[in-house]
Amino acid sequence: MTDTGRPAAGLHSAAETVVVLLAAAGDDAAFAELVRRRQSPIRSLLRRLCGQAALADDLSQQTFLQAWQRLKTLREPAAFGGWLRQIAVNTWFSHLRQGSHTAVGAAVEVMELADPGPVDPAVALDMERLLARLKPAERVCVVLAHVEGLTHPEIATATGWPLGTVKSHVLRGTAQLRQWLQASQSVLS
Amino acid sequence: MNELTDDSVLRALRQLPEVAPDEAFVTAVSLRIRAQRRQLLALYALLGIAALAALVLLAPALLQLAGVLAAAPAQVLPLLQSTLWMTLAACAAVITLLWTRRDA
Repeated sequence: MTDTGRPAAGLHSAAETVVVLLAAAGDDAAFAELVRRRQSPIRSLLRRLCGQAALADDLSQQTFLQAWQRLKTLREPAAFGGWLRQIAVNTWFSHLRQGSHTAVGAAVEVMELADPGPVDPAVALDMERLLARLKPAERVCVVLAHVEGLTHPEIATATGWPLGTVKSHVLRGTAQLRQWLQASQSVLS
Repeated sequence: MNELTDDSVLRALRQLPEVAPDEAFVTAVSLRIRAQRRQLLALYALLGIAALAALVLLAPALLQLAGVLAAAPAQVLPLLQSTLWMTLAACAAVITLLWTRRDA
């Protein structure tokens, strides 16, 4: 990749499909432009999934690195955004399955984790922290459905889970968030 | 106790702040891609050297099989082999250079 401190002339205003095609053809400046355009949604998504800014940025970098490696396999340039989001979700799953998160990674498979316990009223209103308290499977489904605005079939595609599982995770996760928010409001009032 | 509806949960979720774009992030990704590219290059070069080394070791047998060596002057084979070994050493030097600078 060239020194990417400066956006290349013309790329800044080019349509994303054009930029994707250029990047797939090996244009480093075009790929840097894609990173520039897509970093905000990917970093936000991963920050909501993992709850830590530094870790989220590291996983975001891994996401873009994998996208760079596999860009030639992307058949439909217009689908770049969804494709990238899927890589981000998979990167997060891989992270969960590794190292100290082995137990959590297993929980992604079996969809079961111990209840995190009572909500601390001091942090209860912080939605990002509440999200971090959800089980990973519920968290990813809630974030993709309610924050990213994906439909249930789209979430099923992104996660590789059955549609019924996705629906139940969205419902349970949302209900859990509502319950925690309600509990925190009653404590504060 | 206030009854919270799903709507209020959804509203709270949608109000989560977006991470602001940051040029330093773009640079960080570029550096990781550069490092990855060097590693791939080093790997390919290593494979090339391995193939070349195999060729050097097998060269006499191959030449004899082809009937070339019998007709050639006696000094051809050492000359050929030393040339190949020098090429090999140059490739190894390039790989070492790339490898030591992979994170630069």
